[in-house]
Amino acid sequence: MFFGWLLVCLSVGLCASPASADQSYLSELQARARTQGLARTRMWQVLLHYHRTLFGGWRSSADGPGFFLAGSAGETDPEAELMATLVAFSASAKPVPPDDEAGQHAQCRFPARWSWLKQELAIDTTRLPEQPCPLFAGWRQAIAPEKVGFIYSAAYINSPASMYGHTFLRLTRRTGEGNRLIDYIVNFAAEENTKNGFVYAWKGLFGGFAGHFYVMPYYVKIQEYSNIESRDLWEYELALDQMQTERLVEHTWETRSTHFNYYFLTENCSYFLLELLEVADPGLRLSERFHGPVIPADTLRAVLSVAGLVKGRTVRPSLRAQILNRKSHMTGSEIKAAEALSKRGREAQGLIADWPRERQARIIDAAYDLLRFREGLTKDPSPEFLRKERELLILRGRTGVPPLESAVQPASDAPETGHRSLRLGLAGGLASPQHAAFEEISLRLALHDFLDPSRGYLDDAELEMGQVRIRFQNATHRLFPERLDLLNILSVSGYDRWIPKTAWTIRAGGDQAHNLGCAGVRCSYGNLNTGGGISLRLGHPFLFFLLTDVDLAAGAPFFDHYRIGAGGFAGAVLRLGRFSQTTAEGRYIYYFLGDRRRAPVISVGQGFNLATWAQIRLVGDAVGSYREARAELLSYF
Amino acid sequence: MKRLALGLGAFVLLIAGTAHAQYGMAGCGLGSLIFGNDNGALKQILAATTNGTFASQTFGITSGTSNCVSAGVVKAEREQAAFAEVNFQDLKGNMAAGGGEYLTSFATLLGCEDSAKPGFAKMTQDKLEVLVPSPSTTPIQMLISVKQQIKASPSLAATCTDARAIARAEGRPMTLAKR
Repeated sequence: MFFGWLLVCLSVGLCASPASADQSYLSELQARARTQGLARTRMWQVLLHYHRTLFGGWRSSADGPGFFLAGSAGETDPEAELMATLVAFSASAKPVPPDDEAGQHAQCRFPARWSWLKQELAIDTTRLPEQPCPLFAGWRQAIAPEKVGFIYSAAYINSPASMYGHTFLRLTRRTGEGNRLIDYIVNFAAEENTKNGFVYAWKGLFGGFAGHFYVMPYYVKIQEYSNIESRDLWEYELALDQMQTERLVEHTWETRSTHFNYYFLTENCSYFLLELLEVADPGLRLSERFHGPVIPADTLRAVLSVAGLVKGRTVRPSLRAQILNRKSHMTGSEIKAAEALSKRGREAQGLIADWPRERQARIIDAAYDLLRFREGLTKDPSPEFLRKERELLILRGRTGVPPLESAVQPASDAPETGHRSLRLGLAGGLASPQHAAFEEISLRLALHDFLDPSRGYLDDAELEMGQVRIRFQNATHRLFPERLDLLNILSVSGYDRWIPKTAWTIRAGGDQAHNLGCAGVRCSYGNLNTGGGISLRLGHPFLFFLLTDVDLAAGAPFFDHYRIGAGGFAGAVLRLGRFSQTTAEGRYIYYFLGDRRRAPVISVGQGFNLATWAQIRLVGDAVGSYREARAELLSYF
Repeated sequence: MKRLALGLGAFVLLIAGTAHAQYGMAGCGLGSLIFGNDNGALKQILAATTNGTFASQTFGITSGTSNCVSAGVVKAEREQAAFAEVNFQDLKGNMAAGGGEYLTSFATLLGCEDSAKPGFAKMTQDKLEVLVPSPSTTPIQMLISVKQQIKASPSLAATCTDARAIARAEGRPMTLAKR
């Protein structure tokens, strides 16, 4: 193999080309690079992912040593890395097997650096020979990049953690219109190496996973997101020119020599995508806007906020959205027929035999999608599925009816129309006994509750992380935490006959036991509750849910310092246009261990949206005989 | 802010307690790849943001991970097979309906001119029972049958050609003038 390659390269004279650049030319280039200050240019910084450190130095966010030609010095010293890069670029070519990627010449491993330096230093390739890079050239040619699209994958139903969304880039391939499926995408992801949930969480939070840019066909992601996970894909075409697009692709290749430590909250998929866009266009200043948690939807807003960067938007609704759309255009008997076909296959064809062909085709299309959704999206579909699948396909084919397309509504408005992730609030209110006045400040890191402006979010899930409300009681001059939500999830996707989903909730945090006759910090307790149930949706405006609820609580206000109980939790949500959300919730827990004092909990709320970034909210709470009312002014950042 | 984020993270963690003749005929084994994801409940709740990398074993970071894919890019001679495998259900659905996005892209990979695509789609609908002769028909068997049908049809044989498919895969201009 090796000798074969040697022969090939000898025969085409590659290996016979000048062994290396002459030393004097290298010194000349290095001197010129210093004079021009190339190591201090924005381009060099983005290519190497250098960021300012607190002490005024530089540090690269790339964590794999293979990325730095100056060894570990390259990580923190842009100039040393640039000099070493020029040395490596002028090194003589060593014959390597064609598939030995890591052994390739530096010019082949770092094509974006090479392209840029060649141009900036006007490198004379007769004195510093350009190396042939068959591996890279083949890869780049297959991708055939023309344009870049920024893709936002929306949340998927019943998985509130996905509410944070996900972003990746699509590279339009020179294949003409109508072939998006066979475009390539660039996705930043962590290399997961554990199935243990705790280890997973720990590693994810503290940089224990190695993140990489992965290239793959778009259709792989479409199967994953649109079909299996029921996520709508929002595509934003970016105004990057051909040279910028080429650089983006070249740089993606460069990152194959390294990894980036992955942090769920900060240096995550969406963050590194911004760094990649900055390589394409160093004039973009995107990553530096984020100092805390990086939420994918916020990175989309950052991209959209750059004037002229986004040229257009399209949406690819999920398979689930298509199914629900088909169903919404069907009559009762048609729905029944489609169900029967998906359950029994050809046996049920009598139900539609007398209908016009086009109507038959419509029903069979719906039945086929339903069958797939229920039974087909698995690794090894059953023989039963395969039999019914083929029967439906044959029935559909025999109608001879051409494709029936209809406009499908995505599950939510475009993600950028939603409110931002970070919420700050001021509130004032009165509480029993004696209508004692209080003030509050509140902070929530993420993301959405049912009273928040509903536009741009899935309308059947709440996800809150890192919320705290601090209260000051005027009469007693007490300052104390009123409520803390580490995590609050309420997933209540409305029940649909075709796509039945259960409702569930989990919350962990702290609260005040106002009804137990205590006050201030002594009244604080921590609790964890969870439950499951059902929910019902009546159109967009109405949502009802009923869940069981198990509550575990511990704290000073309780007898024996704890209580454990089980009960129920019910609620309703009403949304009126883009302006108003109303909620009502009631909860009753039967405590049977620890402190057994029980009281119904009722809460009503009304949110008025002033703008996407501001809201006025009125809330009334009652716990046993305790009453409280407050008005909040909230703003989203 | 980073510390804040880490702090929040720690809390979350705490509570989680919880060649031409045979061009494109060989399979890739990619069909079931997309179902490799393991989304445990805990994982779903805590963070869905690593985005899984189940596909990365195949569309991997290292080269030579499979004889089908190199650095995430599907080898030219395997593109038709890989596409058919991963999108098998959608493709069959499009064939039965006589058109659709998957079928259009498939036709592109088969080297069809744009003008030939409607005729190609109609052929797949008309010949569905031949292309998918049994419930256990594999993507590769279907691909082979599709190619046989193309050859059997004089008009398709002239407008959907391996030569065009290869030119496209190699990034050469696709407009081979054929009138």
